[in-house]
Amino acid sequence: MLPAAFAAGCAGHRPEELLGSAMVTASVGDISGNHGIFVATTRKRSDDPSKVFDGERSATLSFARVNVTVPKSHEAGKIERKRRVSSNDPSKYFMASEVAGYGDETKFLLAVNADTAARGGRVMVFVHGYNTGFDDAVYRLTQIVHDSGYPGTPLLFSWASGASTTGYVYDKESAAAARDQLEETLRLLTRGSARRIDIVAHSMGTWVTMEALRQLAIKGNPTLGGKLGDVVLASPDIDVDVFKSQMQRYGKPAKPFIVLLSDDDRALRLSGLIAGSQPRVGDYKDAAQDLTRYGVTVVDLSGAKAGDSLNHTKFADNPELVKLLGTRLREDDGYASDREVGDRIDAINRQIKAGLM
Amino acid sequence: MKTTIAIILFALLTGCGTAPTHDLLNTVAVDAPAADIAATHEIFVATTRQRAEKDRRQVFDGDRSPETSFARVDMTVPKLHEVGKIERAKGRAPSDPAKDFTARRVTFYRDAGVFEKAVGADIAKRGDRVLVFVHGFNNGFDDGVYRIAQIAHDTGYPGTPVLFSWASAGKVTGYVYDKESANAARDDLEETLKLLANTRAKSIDIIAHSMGTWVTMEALRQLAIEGNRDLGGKLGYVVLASPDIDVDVFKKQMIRYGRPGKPFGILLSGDDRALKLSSIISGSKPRVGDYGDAADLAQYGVTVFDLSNSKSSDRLNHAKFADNPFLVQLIGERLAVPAGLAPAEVDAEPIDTLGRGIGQTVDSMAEIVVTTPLRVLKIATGGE
Repeated sequence: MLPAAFAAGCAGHRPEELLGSAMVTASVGDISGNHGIFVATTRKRSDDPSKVFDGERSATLSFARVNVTVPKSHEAGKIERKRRVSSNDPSKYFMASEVAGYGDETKFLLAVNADTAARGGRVMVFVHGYNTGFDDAVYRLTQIVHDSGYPGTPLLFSWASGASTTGYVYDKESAAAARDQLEETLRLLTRGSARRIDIVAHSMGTWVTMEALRQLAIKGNPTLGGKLGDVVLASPDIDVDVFKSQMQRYGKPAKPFIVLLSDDDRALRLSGLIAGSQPRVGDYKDAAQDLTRYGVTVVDLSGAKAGDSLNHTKFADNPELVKLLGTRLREDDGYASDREVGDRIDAINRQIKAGLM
Repeated sequence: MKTTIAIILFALLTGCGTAPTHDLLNTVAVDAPAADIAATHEIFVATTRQRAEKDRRQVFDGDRSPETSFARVDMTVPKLHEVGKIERAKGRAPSDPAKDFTARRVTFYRDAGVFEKAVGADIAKRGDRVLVFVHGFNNGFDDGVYRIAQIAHDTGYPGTPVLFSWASAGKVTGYVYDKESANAARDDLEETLKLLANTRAKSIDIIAHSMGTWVTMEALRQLAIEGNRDLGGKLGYVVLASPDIDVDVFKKQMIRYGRPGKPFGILLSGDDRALKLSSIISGSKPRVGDYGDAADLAQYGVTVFDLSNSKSSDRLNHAKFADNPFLVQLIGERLAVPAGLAPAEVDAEPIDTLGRGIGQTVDSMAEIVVTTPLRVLKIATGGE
C-alpha cells in the first residue's frame, strides 16, 4: 500500500537476527566497547531464538538485558552490521554476545539498580521509531551510547514495530498499545536508584513518549517525581496539531523538551503525505516560531548531513551530532539556564551553516 | 450574547453537483406546511472543526480548530420519514422540509460558559438526560448532524441530543488525516463531557460510531487516569457501534479504564466492509467492529451485540445500529430506561416484545447474538 521508499523506512538490515549462531572469537584488542543494554519490551518472544523478540504484540512487558560489543574499526555515526553471509566477527561488526531474560519487574529493577548505582545514578531510556526490528533498536541504542559517551545506564523501550512485514498503521496501533507500558517502565525506574531519567525518542517513538508523558501529567506526575531529565525528541513523527494538543495537556515543561528536526526528512514527508498533506513535527518549517511557545527548544538540523538518504536519523548517524547529544546529556544535573541553552543552540546552528556537520 | 443566523443566504453555485457535498444549510428559505413536518430536533453541538469560510453552507468544515466551538442546529424531520433512513436533498439542491431532513437554523455560542447555560436549560426541560453522539471516519459536519437527528428521532430518546463533531475531512482518502484529527480532539471531548456533567443532567449517555469510538475510548480512558471514570456518577450508557479500533489497543484501553460499572455495549458485525479496509491497512489485524471472538472482548467488562445476521440499508454494513429500522428502535427502547435504573444483565424478553410491535418489512429482520461478561444469548426476532 505504501510507497516502497517509505516501507524501507528507518532500518535497512534483514533478516532481523540479533544473536549469531557461531560466534567468532576476537581478541580484546579488537573490541572498542562492550555495552549492557537493558530492555523493556511489548514485543512477543520470537520462535526464532536468534531474533529474540519479534514484531508481534505481547499483552504484557518483558524484561531483558543484551550485551553488545562494538568493534575497534567502528566509525562514529555508523552501525557496522554483518551481512547474511559473513561470519559473526566481533572485530568487524556490532555483535550481541548474550541475552539475559528477567522473570519479573522486580528482578529486572534489581539488575538495573545495580548498574545505575555504579554509573552515577543516571538512566537513558531510548524509544525507537517506525519500521524498526528489535535488533535494529538494540544496535541503534548501542551506537548512540557508544558514540555519545553517555555515562549512565542505557535502557531500550521496544514497542512492537512490525518492521518490514506490515506497515505504517500496524506500527501506529502497536505504538498506541504500548503507551501504558512505557509509563509503567518510567515509573518502575523512579522506584530504583536513578536520580535522573533522560529520554531519547526517535520518529514514531516520540509519539509513544509524548503519550506516556501526557498521561503521567494527567495523573499529576509530569516530572516523574522530579527525576525526569532531558527529553530529546528526534525527527518526531507526530502531526503538528496533535503535538500541540499533547504539549497543551502536558503543560510547559520545567526543562524545555528538545525537538530535533530537519526539513529534508524524506521519511516524514511521506508520513505527512499519507496524513493528508499535513506537516509532521519533524519536518515542520515553522517549528521555531510556532512550537517554542509550548515549552520546547527547536534545533533545526536541516543543514546537517545524514548517514542515509532519508535524512530521518541525523541525530544518531551524523558523527558530530551524536557526539553533541552526548555532550548535552553529560552536562551536570543542574538545570542549564535558558541563556546557556540558547548559546549552545546558536553554536550548533553556526556549525551546521559552516558545513561542519 | 449569542449570534443567531436564521437562514444564511448565499449565491447558488451552478454545476453538476454529483460529487459528495457537505451542505447543511439552504441558500434560500424553503417553507413547508406544518402538517408535513414530523418533528423539530434541537441538536446541540461541540466541535473541533473550523468555521467554514469558503463554503458557508457547510457551517463547519474539515479543518481543525485548536479550540472547541459550540452551536445548536434546529433540524426538522419530514412526516414521510421512514425509520432508519435519512431523507436528504440530492446533490446541492435545497432541502425541502416536506421531504427532507432540513437544518432550519444555526445558533452559535460565544464560549463554553454560554453553551453550558443553554444546553443546561434544555437538559433541565427535557428530563435531565443527555445523549452525546460521536460520529465516525469520513463524515462531514452535515453527516454528523443528520445522523444524530435521525437517531434522536427514531430512538425517541427522552433527553437532549449533543453532537460531538471532530474534524473528519469527510473524504474516503482521508483515513490517517482523520485519525490525527481524532487524536487532536480527545481533550475537547473530555472537556465537553465534563461540561455536561456540570449541568443538572443526571445521566449522560454516549453513542459513538466507527472512528468516533476511538475518540470516546480515549476520553474515557483519560478521565479514568484522572480518577473520574464515571463523570461523578453521571455516566450512563456507553454504546460503541462498529468500533474502528485495533483489538489489541481496545483491550489496553479497557484495562486502563477498568471494568465499567455498567458494561459498555459493543455493536459489531462480521460483514462490515468499511472495517475490513481499516483492518487491511493496519496490517491485517482485526478491528473491534468486525472481530469474531465476542467472548474475548466480554471478559474486559463489555457486552457484545453481534449484528452479523441483521441487514443494513447500506452495502458497507457499517452503520446497522442506525440504519436498520429494527435495531435503531431497539436501541431506543433500551435507552428509554435511564442506565441507573436498568437491570444489570441483558434479558431477552423486551426484545421479543419490541419485534412484534414494530411491524417493519422483512428487511428489518434481526438475529442478535448477545455475549455478556457472564453468558451468551441468542435472539432471533424483528420483522414478520
